[in-house]
Amino acid sequence: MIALAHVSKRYPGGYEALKDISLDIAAGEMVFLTGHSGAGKSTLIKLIAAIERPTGGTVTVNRQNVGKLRRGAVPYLRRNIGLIFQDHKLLFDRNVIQNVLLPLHIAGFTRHDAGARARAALDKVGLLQREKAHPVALSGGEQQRLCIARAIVSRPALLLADEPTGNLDSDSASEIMVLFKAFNLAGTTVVISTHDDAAILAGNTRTIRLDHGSLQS
Amino acid sequence: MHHRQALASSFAQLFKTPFASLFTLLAIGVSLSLPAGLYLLLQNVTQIAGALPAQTEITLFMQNDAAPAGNDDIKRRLANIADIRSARFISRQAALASLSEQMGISDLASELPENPLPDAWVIIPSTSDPVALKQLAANLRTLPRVATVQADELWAKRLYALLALGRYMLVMLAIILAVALVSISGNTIRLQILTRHAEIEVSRLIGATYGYIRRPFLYFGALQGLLGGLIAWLAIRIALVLLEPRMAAVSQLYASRYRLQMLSVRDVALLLAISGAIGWLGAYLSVGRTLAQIEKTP
Repeated sequence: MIALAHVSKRYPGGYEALKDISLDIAAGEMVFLTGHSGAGKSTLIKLIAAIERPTGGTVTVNRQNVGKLRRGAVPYLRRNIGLIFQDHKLLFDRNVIQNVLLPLHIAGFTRHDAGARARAALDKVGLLQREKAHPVALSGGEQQRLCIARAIVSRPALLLADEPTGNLDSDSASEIMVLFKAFNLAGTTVVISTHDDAAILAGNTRTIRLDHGSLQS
Repeated sequence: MHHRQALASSFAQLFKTPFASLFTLLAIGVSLSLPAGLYLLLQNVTQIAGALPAQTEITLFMQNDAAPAGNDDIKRRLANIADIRSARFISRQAALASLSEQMGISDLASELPENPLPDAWVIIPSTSDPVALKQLAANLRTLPRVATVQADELWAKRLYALLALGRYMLVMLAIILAVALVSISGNTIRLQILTRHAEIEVSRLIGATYGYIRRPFLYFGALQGLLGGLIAWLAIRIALVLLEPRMAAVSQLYASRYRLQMLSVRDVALLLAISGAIGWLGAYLSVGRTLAQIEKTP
């Protein structure tokens, strides 16, 4: 599913966020990405989603060389990836269901299909009762679940979550982790960056540890 | 399908901030009404210039020894020359009589030892084109026993020069205002993009193409231009309705039945097409630049 070969990322100004990273993540796998803040977790996720491009090595997702993707092809790659952010990136000028509908509109679904899919996604994260609510009215945990609903609504093969529990209390955080487990059991590849060790210790999930931009085994 | 949504969202965006939208539309409309109104004015002046009777005269003064018998010969020759609407013979006696009448001297003829005036032909050309008039005057000069040809072509030249100047100014004004309108449109679009920054950023992250993001803004620009054009047309309509009775009074004094020309259907269609295109262009330039800026600051 994901293959990195000797990947490095140097930002303008000389800061080296990733140094010679090589790793493979198989389809259907669930992987935690850990390390102190600034270890390169976010950068790694951005490289996989083609938000940024590597300065060395190759990033392959679904047999596509993401680093060399044409600008016009990037949107189609992203439609197959569900992105979940620490700051949720919800749109506050529209209600819950409209937030979930956005990816479907972008992908060109008809109104009828989109509505059914969006409700199904909200149901999975337990927000179906709040579909008319506005994101401001949601708690932090609910906002994060809304972000997850938006990420899974187009049924991507890959979920990338960047510090999804970073701002949440432990109860909300474990709810979120349960959700990710469920999606993984349904066949979705899940990559979660976190510095929350409790979440990792809870299960015997594969963990990739980064330290100052290098892999630590 | 997204096209219809984009158009609907453009309308919604317009009504979301009704006052700001109205002011922008008025600015676009008023700016457009200036060149469109000037165009209409020139159309009308050109029309009036073409409809004026006897706008140009050419007078042929004959040599004094010309025999009256030669008149028929001249008449025949004049009939063969193109661009002549009518030719009228004024004999030297008739000219002297009308001169003495104008000067209020009842018997000028008897005071003078000899009639100093020549026979003359007053020719009214059927064209007002300066080049054709020059050619006509040259042709007339070759007729036998003609002493001088006095072509009253300066007047026509001046009018045509003024009209040409007017058209030139119209083009210049139109270009200047087009640039202004492109930037008005571009600026409103830029503000809109910045207020919808979050939406654009998220849309990009979840797989929106540039086309998808661009589309509603392009529609908005075109729509805004089009509505501005509509306002310009309305402004001109109102101005014409107000001017019509005054114009009627003036043309009555000139014993003419001239009616103000309105913008034709073709002109209106052109006005709307141009205004829409200008709005679209402003949006296009602005979207490209602003999206590139947003993309650089993640």
